Amino acid sequence: MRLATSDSRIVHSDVGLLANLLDQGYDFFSGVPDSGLKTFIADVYGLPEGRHIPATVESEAVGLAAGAYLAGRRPCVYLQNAGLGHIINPLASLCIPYEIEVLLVIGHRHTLPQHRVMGDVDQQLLELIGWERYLIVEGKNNEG
Amino acid sequence: MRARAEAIRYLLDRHGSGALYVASTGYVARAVHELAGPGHDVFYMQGSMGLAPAIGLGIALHTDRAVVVINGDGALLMSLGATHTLRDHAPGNLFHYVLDNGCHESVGGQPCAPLEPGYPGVTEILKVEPGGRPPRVKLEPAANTRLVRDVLSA
Repeated sequence: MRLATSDSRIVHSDVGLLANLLDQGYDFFSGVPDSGLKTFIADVYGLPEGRHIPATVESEAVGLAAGAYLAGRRPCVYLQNAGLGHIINPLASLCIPYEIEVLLVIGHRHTLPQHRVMGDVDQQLLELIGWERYLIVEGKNNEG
Repeated sequence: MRARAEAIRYLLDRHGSGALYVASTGYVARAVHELAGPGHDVFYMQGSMGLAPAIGLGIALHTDRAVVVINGDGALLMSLGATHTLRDHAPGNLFHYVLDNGCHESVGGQPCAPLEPGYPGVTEILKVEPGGRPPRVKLEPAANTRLVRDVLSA
């Protein structure tokens, strides 16, 4: 059960998502994979050299994206909602005070016991700290 | 072993005013702010401990300028995974230095785990002596972002 607020930030498929973001001008990608974002991430791995750098942890991906933004790019970070726990401080102490714009593409896990707590609060956590640049992908692939 | 200020002056002289510097949180950013001249362009990362190398890589991939990350030992240990990302993806214009004072100096001098002699993605580790309390950075974070974006788009 989750309290949905800004529903325009929830999408139900990641098919065609990368093409859509490229059309919107997003031009640098980093993140940590999630099975709920399989199509999007397969597309991201097909980008030309330098447009995508895989990170070892989600906080590092936000750091890479922040650097790209400082250099004039329009960055996007992809992650599973479990990884939100790793990026609250990078958002709170770096992106928000420094006005660094990063789009988060978040795979929404919620069915398994280890995913239930974050699955209930992922969107509320972002709203609570005042972060509005995100898309939550609620796909069918929630058991992987 | 040298004083922190001496190590920072050495790096500022070595890379000069053509480079873009990323100074890690705590006393590193504060000391760089105290020592950098008006010709030095610096991103003072005042929070987000551990992220300076990733920020430096994100910048270096998108500029021809030299990008010089000045990190601390505690901050390096906090994001060791980034050393492998730098190893695999850093372009030749990225330099990553670690000032190793053996402790978390700005929050009370508590010891951190001793470093290994070297790490992937680290250009050089400079041993420095703890001591001194540099003044706070007098630059608003958002103004710092605008400054760096302006410099890199010029």
